[in-house]
Amino acid sequence: MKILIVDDSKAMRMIVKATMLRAGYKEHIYEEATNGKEALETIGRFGPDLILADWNMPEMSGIELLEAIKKQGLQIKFGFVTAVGSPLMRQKAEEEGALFLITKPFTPEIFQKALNPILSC
Amino acid sequence: MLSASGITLQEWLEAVSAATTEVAQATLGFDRKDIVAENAPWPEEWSGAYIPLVNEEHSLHLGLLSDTGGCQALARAFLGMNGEDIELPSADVADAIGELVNIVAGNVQTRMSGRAPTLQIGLPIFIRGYIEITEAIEEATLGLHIGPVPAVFRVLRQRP
Repeated sequence: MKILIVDDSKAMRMIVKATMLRAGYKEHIYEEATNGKEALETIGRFGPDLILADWNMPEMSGIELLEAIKKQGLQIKFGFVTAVGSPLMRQKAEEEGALFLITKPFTPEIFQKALNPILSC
Repeated sequence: MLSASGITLQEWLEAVSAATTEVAQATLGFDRKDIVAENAPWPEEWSGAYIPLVNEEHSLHLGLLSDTGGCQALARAFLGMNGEDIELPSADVADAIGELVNIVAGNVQTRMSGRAPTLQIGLPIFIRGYIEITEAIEEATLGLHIGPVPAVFRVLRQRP
């Protein structure tokens, strides 16, 4: 499976990938993008099956990215990994089709709980 | 001083303190006993990351500051490089401290959501050196040690 990690923080991209590997998802192919706009460009050449995106990013936020993917009719599994998870954000994410919203700080076990039902498909 | 919603600066600072303790444990790997509040004066030349928290009623900035070695140590801890004697590039330090303050801000937002439900978090910026506080701004500071690292959390906001 191809997984695209989208976060404006290089540190967070590194930590998200490291957490994925610690959670046991070692056999997947990873790519990174620094915001929603760059992610849209990356989708064309990388063809991800799953996107893990931050919410709050410059140029194009995570929720704007999800809306753009939906608008283009792309079938890509999508989840948020973000600093905040207010009830309003969770509702909005769910309405737009996000499969989960993980808040920072997180652990490999939290990733497994959210991702096992998706990655085992 | 009270804002329109009755949230004092001290209450914001208490939320920051609780959030910092939780995040330092979960993200930086420190024990609760290693996070000690300490109201010592802090040098103005310290560096750190600031992040805005804004809604129609509140306009705050949270800042986490330390000296150069402290920022390096916090960034290494954030990246899981505790105990490694590596000097990180300044851009990586700024990125890591910015993300750390972002997570603290998220925790503060959650803690205060009952009283400030529409609070939005902006993007963090990293500043080296002194920020002049004008008369329009009021501030509260929390001195603390995060493990061996001396640090200060600042809460700045527009005077009501």
